[in-house]
Amino acid sequence: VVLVFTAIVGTTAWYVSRLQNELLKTVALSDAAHYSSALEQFRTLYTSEVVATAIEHGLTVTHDYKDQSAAIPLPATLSMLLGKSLGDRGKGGSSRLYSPYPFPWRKHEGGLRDEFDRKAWESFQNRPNEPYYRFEVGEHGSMLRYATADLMREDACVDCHNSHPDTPRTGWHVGDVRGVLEVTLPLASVEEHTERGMRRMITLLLFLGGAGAAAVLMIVRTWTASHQRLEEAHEDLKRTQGQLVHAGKLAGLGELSAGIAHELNQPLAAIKMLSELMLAEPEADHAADHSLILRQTERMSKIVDNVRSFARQTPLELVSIASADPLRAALELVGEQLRVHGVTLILDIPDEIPTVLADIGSLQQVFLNLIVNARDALDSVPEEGEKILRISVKEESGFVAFKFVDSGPGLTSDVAGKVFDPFFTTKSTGKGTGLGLSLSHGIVEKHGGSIRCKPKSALGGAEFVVRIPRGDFG
Amino acid sequence: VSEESESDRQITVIAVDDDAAIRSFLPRVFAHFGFSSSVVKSGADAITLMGERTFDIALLDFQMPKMNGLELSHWIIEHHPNTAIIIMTGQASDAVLEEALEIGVFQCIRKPLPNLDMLGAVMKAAVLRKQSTQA
Repeated sequence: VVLVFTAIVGTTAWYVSRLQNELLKTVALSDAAHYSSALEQFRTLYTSEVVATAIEHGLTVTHDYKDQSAAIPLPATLSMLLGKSLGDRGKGGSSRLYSPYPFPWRKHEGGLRDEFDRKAWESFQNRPNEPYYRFEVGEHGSMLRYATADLMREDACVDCHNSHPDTPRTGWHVGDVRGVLEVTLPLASVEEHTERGMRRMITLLLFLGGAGAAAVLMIVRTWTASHQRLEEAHEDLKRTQGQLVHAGKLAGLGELSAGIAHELNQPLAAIKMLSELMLAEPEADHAADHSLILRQTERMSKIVDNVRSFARQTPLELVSIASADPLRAALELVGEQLRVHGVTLILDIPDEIPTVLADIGSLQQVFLNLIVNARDALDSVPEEGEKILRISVKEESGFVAFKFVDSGPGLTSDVAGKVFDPFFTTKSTGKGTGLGLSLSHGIVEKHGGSIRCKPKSALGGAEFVVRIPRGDFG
Repeated sequence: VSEESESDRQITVIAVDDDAAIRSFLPRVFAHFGFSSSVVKSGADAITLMGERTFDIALLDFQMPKMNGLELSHWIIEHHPNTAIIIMTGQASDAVLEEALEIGVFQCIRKPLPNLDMLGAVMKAAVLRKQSTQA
């Protein structure tokens, strides 16, 4: 940003300085042209209005008019005098009249004295109507030297120049270039003035540029800070959501704990009884008993593993897994409960089913929620009614659909619209947290899948369908 | 039938449990106590078998699909009032167990059992109680 602003300020300063320089030159040229034409005009008027009348009245017109009586200066003499006196007044311009043919009394100051004089004279031989000028740096700083051709304008001039006893040249005609009228304009003071202006402008530009850069920096910093705050808030939200998922899991675990106790109690009771029996039969062969005990402990390990993976708080890790795996993991935890609650479980899992891209623990949690909800719904089925939970898995255009249908009372459409809302529950206080389905919804969405609910199904109860992207497409 | 032969006769037991592992060694447990036994996996099987013969003791698991221990107890009390009922449970609430005792179940035992001999003692006590009430 600072670099960009420096570049902008630099370019602007350079451009303005160039523009000002151009302007300065243009103004100087125009000044010089005015000056030159004013001198010209003055001499023409003097010649026609004064000199002519003076001659009629018998006055002498000469360069040394001071030394003679009844004499006035020659037009050229007066012009040079005027130029000199203007120049003597200081800062304004000065003027000079010269030619390669100086009169004898002007030998030391007339004539072509330097290169500029010669070039100007040469130029006017071909282009008498175009001014010749040059910007030069002299001892008093830079200046403009502006030359115009001095022409023989009138017969009176020609006559006099051709007939004057001291004339350095004869044979003049009207329109001939007689000499060079040079106006010199010093530019030092103007330049100094504009330089001061430039310096002020650059300072102003630098200040404005600096302020602009600071403003942009401040805006960028503010934006970065607010962006960072937003990011932090987002992180916080994600963390909170993670905690909520964990809390939901633990709440679910609480609901399940009674069932898990029963699951563990069965093999425990079997092992205990059998061990005592073995102690009571010291002579018998217990090989079969040992393997039965081993099977019971494996059964218990499996339950413990399942509980542990369920409760673990890990980030979602999507990998390609067998579609039936998360379902079986969930049934591992609640299968016994379904049996105890008298629920007939119908599993419809085809042999050939694509894999899913899923986090097994999270999906297990989703299925567990749906199964426990179905179990609770089926508890309200009267004695003579059938308690059926049918879970089917099938491939559905890029997804694997897990459908849970029960023969419970179903949902009212009012309830069906709210089941995914957090903390919405129809269960009695202490039994449900109201988080299960809302968390399930979140988990399924993170899988890029969907979860839908129908209040009534073919079996009479609710229908939930979870769609998870296939794992063999990635 | 003399009183003596009545008490000498081998005690018969029907056990109902839906857990295959437990069913596999239950007959040996009863043999250890000196009882003869039949072990079945559900209430329906028990009702079928008890339609053919009677037992001194019915040892019932409480948590079973379709018909639980309490429901089966109702049927046994109605059809076989001389059979002593013992319920084993890992999960049932106190209220349910109280209800069982009220309808005439002899004893409820929580699983896992404190020890095997206690089960034997309770079963023998149940038989004695039945005989004394009949007497």
